[in-house]
Amino acid sequence: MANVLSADVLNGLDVKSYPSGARIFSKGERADVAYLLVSGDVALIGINAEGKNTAHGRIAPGQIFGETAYIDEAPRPFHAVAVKESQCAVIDRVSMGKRMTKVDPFIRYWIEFMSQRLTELGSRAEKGNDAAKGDAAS
Amino acid sequence: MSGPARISLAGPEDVRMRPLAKILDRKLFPPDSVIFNQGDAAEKAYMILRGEVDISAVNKNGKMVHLTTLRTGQAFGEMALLVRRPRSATAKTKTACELLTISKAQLEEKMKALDPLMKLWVETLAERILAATRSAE
Repeated sequence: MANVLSADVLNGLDVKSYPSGARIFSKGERADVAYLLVSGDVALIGINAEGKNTAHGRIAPGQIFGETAYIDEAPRPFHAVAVKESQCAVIDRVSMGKRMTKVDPFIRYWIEFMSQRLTELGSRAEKGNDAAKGDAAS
Repeated sequence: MSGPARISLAGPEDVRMRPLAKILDRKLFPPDSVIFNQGDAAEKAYMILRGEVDISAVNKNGKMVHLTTLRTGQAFGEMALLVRRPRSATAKTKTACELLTISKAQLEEKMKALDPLMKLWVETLAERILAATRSAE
């Protein structure tokens, strides 16, 4: 994926700055937006069963994050923390809605189809984790 | 309809597909015909305008296993277009089908014409699905 962003990508989006160590969003929060990392470095951090922080990935400039919870309208599964001073473009539903109206009907179908597929895959993974926990507990 | 045999379609058309039916190619398949085989190079994605399609795959034990039956309004074959890998399953018509198709070249043209953020969004969704699919395997 390209990690060089053109002005066109950011057109119409608010860009927020986060100092090093700042939390962009917290686990459990409602996901109303997704983010596009413009500059900097972001870490996704989970919490394991023992209450310890676990690394769930790093976001590089040009990458989108927070999109899965945004699509599912679900609580954030992780914290997102700026590892260093970072700038993030905020992808909100109004901006996406406007863009979607201009998109080819097939691409619109495609995005909706993939969003639904992601939700299904997420549900299956959760059921698998619950089953594994059940097995471990018995 | 042309060809030696008439393909008799039954069942309702999915009205949500009508905007797509105006811009995509249509193809008719008789019952019990292979649309693509597992391992084939991926050329097209398919959407079911009418009919039912069985999806199956050869498992680790070498046995062909039925995975699912797709129905009107559902799509298949799409991931191979986005991530350039061979077909992961076989698709065969259960009933006579009318399918909408889109080729890799057509999809790539549509992607080029996309707003850069939407292009990035589509690419991100595709990568997430691929990662989730791989971790489930």
